[in-house]
Amino acid sequence: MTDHSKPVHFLLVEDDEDHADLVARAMREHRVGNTMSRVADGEAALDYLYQRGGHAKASRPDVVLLDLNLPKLGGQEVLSTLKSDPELSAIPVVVLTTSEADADRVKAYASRANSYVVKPLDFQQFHDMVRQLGMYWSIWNRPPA
Amino acid sequence: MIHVIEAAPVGMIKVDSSGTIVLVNREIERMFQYPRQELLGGQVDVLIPLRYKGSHAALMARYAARPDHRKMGEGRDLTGRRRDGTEFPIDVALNPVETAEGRFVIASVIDVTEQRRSQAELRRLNESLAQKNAELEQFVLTISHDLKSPIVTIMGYIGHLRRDIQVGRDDELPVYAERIEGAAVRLKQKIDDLMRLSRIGREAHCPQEVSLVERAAAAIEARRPEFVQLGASVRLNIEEPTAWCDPQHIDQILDNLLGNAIKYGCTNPSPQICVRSWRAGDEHIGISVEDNGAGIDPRYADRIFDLFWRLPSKAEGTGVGLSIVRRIASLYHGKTWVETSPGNGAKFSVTLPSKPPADSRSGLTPPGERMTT
Repeated sequence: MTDHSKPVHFLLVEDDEDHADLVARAMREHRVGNTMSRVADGEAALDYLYQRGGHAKASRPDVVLLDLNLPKLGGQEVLSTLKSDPELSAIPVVVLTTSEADADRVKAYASRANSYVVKPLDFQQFHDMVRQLGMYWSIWNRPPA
Repeated sequence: MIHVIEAAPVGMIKVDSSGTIVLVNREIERMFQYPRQELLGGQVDVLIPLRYKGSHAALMARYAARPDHRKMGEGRDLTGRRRDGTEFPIDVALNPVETAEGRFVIASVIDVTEQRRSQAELRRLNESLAQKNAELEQFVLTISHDLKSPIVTIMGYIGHLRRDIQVGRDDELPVYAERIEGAAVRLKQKIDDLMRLSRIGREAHCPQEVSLVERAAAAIEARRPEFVQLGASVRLNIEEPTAWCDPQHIDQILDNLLGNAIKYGCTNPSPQICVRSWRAGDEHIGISVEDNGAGIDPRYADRIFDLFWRLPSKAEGTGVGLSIVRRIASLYHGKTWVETSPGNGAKFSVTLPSKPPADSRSGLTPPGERMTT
């Protein structure tokens, strides 16, 4: 029923070292996301997705976990660029942010974000969120191709 | 009847079907600054601006065809013309009167200059309030986001720490402690910065004439050890010697701009910083701090003054110094901007008043009084 054989590659776009580490630890612990790559700003995210610059040999991720408040190029700009490109638009983007602003959420969905998740403050909830997110996108979700 | 019209608190004017004035009261004389003998027997359109004379004849003819009691020019702003040609806003009500001598119109005229001014002021205040609300909302969101971020870190590593202690693991405890401490320090810095920022609007301050030569020299002197360490040369080019502001404000602006130049503008092997003042129009002076460093991508020029916003890949600072500069300048209705391009340095500029405000509407108060925002 579900295809466990294909490894799922997450790209985490996160400038905060600690938050990136916390997500990575939770993913490792719950064995979700067979591969996780990380870039720390919006421009690097687009370089990664377009396989250019220092990321020329990067493989396209299956899912993008995208922070909004990023250096160089904001998360909303990354999202709209990605979703307006027919080659990349099918890649699911989960916005993973501390922003609870309605305007950010509405704008993200208007730019076709697949999900919008606010980072929980509580440790257990944070772990549950990463586990469920990982499980959903790596096991239950079926990509178009 | 004549006495009632004469004593009316509004202007009253009676015209016949050809538009000839047959009666005016004292208020019309006062409002339009005409002696009544000049008006009586003349055409009523002498009281309207020349540009409306053509259309007024047609409007009179239309009214004559269907005379009734109504306001003139419903939905439009009407304008009266005084004897000296100056114009002022009016409201006019029209009343047809049938007499044995024929049909007349009595117009009641009110000078609404004050009313329009109040309405305009109310509109301005409403717009200003809406802008302040939007700024406040953005401010709260920025703060909540930036304060939450270190809390996520602290809570996350405390969770790991607790769990590791429960299972008897201690190899990563120093890592957790270090990350928790780092986040707590960042949190404290941000709170301190917010307090500094909020004090600018809350504390009473005393605008006065300040010497830019003295203040700039003192600001440079205070930063001298850092300039020496970086091998930077600093030049002072004061074309305009004084500003009108609180001395603490000018000190804070200069120190923040110099601090900014030290942090980000001293990438050149021979760093050079120039502090300059110049005349910026009749009522303002400009102050700039220019460096010959790496410059800034113009894409960031708008965001660089935003609260907590920092240049990419720059580890120092909390992103509040330039916000403070902008906030101080805004107290004086001054402007802040940056001129820069990659590789060509950056020039941060501020405008401040050069003299006391002409009236209280400028938002500034005399020395010693509280200034509010």
